[in-house]
Amino acid sequence: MASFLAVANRKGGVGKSTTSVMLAHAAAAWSGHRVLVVDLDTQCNASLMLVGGEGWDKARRGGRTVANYLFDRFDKVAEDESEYVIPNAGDVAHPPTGQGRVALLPGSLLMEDIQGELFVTQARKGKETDVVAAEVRGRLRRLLKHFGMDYDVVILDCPPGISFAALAALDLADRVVVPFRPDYVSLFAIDRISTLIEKVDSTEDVAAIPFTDRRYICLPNYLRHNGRERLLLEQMSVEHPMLPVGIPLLDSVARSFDWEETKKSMTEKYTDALPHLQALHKEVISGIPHSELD
Amino acid sequence: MSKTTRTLSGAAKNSFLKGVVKSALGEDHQARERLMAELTAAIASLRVRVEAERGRKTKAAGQRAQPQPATARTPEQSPAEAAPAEPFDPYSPNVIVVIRTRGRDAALAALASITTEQNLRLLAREQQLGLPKDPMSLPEIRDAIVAAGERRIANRLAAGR
Repeated sequence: MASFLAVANRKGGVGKSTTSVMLAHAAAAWSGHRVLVVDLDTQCNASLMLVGGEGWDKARRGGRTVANYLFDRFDKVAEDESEYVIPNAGDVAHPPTGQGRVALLPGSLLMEDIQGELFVTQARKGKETDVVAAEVRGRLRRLLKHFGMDYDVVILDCPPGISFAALAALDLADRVVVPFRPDYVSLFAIDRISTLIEKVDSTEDVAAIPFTDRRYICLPNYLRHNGRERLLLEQMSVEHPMLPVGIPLLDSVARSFDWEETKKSMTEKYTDALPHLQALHKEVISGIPHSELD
Repeated sequence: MSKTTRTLSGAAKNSFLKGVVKSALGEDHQARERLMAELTAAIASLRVRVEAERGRKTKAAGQRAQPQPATARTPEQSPAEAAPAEPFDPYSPNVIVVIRTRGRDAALAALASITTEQNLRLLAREQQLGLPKDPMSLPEIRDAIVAAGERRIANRLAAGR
């Protein structure tokens, strides 16, 4: 069974999709992992970064997105889910003889709509709304879990809002990476997502959980390395487990968002961001084992 | 540094510290977490002081190498007034961190090493710990900084309930 890694933060614009894609490329290139990126965000940025606009549009028109998968299979027994997946996604070339690959379950603009529709459909059956909500969340979790059979690592790129799918992803994740920008509101954002991940009511409850027992770890992103940023990072480190690496604000990271048809090496894609990505890979991915495929 | 030693940083440093803390405190998770937090904060501020010291030396060396222009000192200024100001790091001590990890008294003690109103107000501004504009004594300013830090912590906790 794959390791499930969620990349989540309720705040937008913190680099969730970028981090998801970078980790996916790194896991495939440097650990030889079979990686699936599940794009749960209606913005579909991870999909655009991994297969480009035309590739994503083709999947959308063909009804082969995560929204289609969850909607089609909600009331059915599990079948072969691979028909929804785009194999060999991303614009990094991997050795033909190696196992490392990145695949994508593409995102959908309709992700929120289908979740609403699933909820309403189930609620019409006369159950209490909180029971229906728990059932929808549980069913989405099980549907996402099916992909664990075919990969070493499944990266769940979560949306900023809290949807059923996002909660299902957080439930399913073995580990959650929380990228953030070191600014004032991010303090609050991390406090909030930490309560959701740890399934407690308040940040005071989270504080009672030792760092070593928490499922999440925070990733400082867009670092400028100035004094105010250092101040906030120190404050966050008192309350939340923090990766000892961060991603600086670099043009090379911004450029790496662009999907290109021609595949390239990791060095060509990430240029001077490469050492930071290597450090991130070492911290987050390198301990993940290769799973036995069924 | 000899070839038989290496610098610990990041995950290796944390792992080393966790081992030391575990051997000292055994299985008491909470005590271990508290000590780890204090060590992390202390090492962070130590790094800051070292960097500030380096910066001070670099600046002093640069100033020795480049003669000050004649306009740098007016006839009214005494040599002491015209001397370059001590470099001051307004992010150290990190008031919120010290309050959270060691309490308000420790924060006041840490601020006691800052002995000018200008630097205390600069620290308060940079750490976004609002101070009244009224004239205050140095102890009053330190009290107000710590009180502002406590308000900031309470403000954050309120949003997390």
